[in-house]
This record gives sequence, C-alpha cells and structure tokens, in this order.
Amino acid sequence: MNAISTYKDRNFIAVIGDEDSVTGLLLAGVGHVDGANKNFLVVDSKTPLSKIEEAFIEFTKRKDIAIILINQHIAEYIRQLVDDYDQAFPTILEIPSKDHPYDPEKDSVLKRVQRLFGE
Amino acid sequence: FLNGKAFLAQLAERLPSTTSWSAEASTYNNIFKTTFMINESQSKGHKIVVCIVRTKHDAEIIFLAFHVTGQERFFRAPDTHAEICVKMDQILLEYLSLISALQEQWKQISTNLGSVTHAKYTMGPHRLNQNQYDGRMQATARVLISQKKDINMLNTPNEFICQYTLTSLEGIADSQEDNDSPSLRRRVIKNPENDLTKKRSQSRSEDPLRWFGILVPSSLRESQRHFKQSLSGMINIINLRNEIINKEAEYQMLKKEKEKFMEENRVKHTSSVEN
Repeated sequence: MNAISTYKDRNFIAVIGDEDSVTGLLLAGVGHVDGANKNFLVVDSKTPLSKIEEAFIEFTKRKDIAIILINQHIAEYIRQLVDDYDQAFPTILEIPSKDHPYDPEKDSVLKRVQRLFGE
Repeated sequence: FLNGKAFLAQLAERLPSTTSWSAEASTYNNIFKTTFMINESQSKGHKIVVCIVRTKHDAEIIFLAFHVTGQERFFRAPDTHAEICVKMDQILLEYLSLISALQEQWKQISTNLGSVTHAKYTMGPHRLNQNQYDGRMQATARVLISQKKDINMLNTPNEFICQYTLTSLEGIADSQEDNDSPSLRRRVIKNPENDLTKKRSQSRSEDPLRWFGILVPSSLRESQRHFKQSLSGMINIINLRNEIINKEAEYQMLKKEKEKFMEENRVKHTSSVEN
C-alpha cells in the first residue's frame, strides 16, 4: 500500500519546539540546514501562530522528513491542524517539555486502550 | 459441555447414516471426556472420543479421537470459540505489555528533558541560545524507515508494520548501496558526502557542542548525552505505537471471528431445537 519510494528518502527528523527543546535535540544531531530550508522551528512567546502553522505544513509536505517532533503545548496551538493530519509519512510525535511534563491523560495512544476495552 | 455436544451434533450430520449413539462421560484433571459409541449397524462399534480440555482461562479446547477399524486417530477440532478465546487472551496480554513498555519509555524521556534548561542556568542564557546555532549544520542523527510483515495480519490492511531506526549519515549511504540499482549506486559514490576523509573531519567539526564554544561545561555535555538518549527513546515510542496499533487490529479481527462463530452457533441451536 505504501510504495517504498514514499519513505525510502525520508531520513530527517524535524522539530517544532521551545528553545530549550530544540537546542537539546540539535545537540543530539537532528538539525539540518540546506540553503533556505531548515528542519526545525524555535517557538517563543513572540512567534506568531501563522509561523507555527506554516512550519508544520511545510514539514508535512517535504519528501525528506521521516518524523516531526513537536512539543505538546505547542501542538495545542495548532490542535486542529495536527488532529486533521492523516498522512502515513512523516509521522508526528508530541513530546513533553520541562514546563509541560508528560501527561498520560493527554496521550492519544492510551486513549485507544479505553476504546479497546470499552467495546 | 455444551460446546462438545454442539460439535458432536455437527459431526453426527457428517457421519454416514448415524442414527444414534450412547455416551459415557468421565472427568480427570480438567479433562472432560465423553465417549460416544455409534450404534447404527453400518458403523457399529465405531467409537468417537471427545476430549474437552478446560484451560486456566476457562476456555475449552476440543480434541477428537476417531476409532476407525481399530486405529485411533486424533483430530484437533477446528477453530472454535475456545481457541479464539485463548488467542484473544494472549493478545491482550501482549497488548498490555506493549502499553507498559510505552509508559516506561515516556518516564525515561521525561526525566531528561530539563537538561538544557539546567545547563543554561549554569552557563547563562547569552551563552546558550538559538543565535549560536550553526547556519550550515548537517544532521548527524537520521532515520531509516523500513517495513516488516506482521504474520498475524497477512492480507489485511495492517499487513505491514513500519519500523524506524536511528542512524547516521553513513548508515543511510550503506542502506542505499544495499538496495539500489547500479545507476543509483554510481550517484551515491559520486556524492562528496561519502568521501571517507571528508567524513572524518566532519564528524569532529559537526558536533553541535562546538557551536557553544571551544570549552564547554560538563553540564552541556550532560545535556547532549541526555537528549541523545531521549531521541533514541522517542524512536522507540514511535515503533511501540505502531506495534500497539497492529495488536489492536489483531484483537478486533479475532473478536469479529468470535462473534461470527457465536452467531453461527445460535442459528444452529435454534434450527436443531426446531427439528
């Protein structure tokens, strides 16, 4: 169903996050700049919503990105966009940050468990 | 015993002109055994032994033994309600184990996330911020996507599970050489990034740690180590997530089979009652 060509060239990990999260992941080696194209966006209090939306849409349209990591509290700003996303690649993972720790209540995977046992 | 009787009723339909049987039941260690003697003239003396084994999940597995002309042949009854229940229990256990692994992995990641903030505190924000990012950075941490077959889900939409593997630039080049045609291989070799000497000098200068000064405090080195671990953990979570989704699909598939079986049994029961 998914032709190999759609994922074979997807090698990059993109990040949309606050400065500390992005710095950390860049230290881990995920950052890539190619001319005008970056695979990350630092979001702070001055970042307009449109910029976050643009970055998300751009990353999902690129053919060389395998994973998009996004701080969960930032994903909240573009919740509709993230929830409507239905492509197989790149895959999206919402990650916690120091100020917004992992909350199992908000984990969509764990919500599926309820659905499974609920039926 | 209800299942055994129902199963036998089905069996009786298939045996050549069987009109009656006598039954003798015994139990031994959770094995409920019923021996049926066929009394009809043609098959007289043929013995059918039905063993119903009740498992600890309170499911039944039916074994069937035919005595035909003195020879005993054992058959395991085809996929019954019993087998499906046992399988479903097993899948649920595997599923819960995956969920548990997922939560454990999140816990590990969470403990590392304050690392850069801590380093910033010791170094000062002017020494650790986005203005120091190298505008020519090249990713050293990359991902390979592969697909593996899930043997339990063949010929279904969930036949393949996606697998993500963290790798380096060399890892990507290696995998390309393995998979591709000669023309692509030529292109890969011509690619200057695969030049061995360039690779070696790159690995030192491409360490993002260097963006923040020649001498970096141990707290920043710690941060890098923590985030490398966290990154690996995030890849694990993505892979676990895919396994979980497939496990759910497997469970739902069996659940449908079970419901179908129960529906068929209901129909048979009502029709045999009518007769």
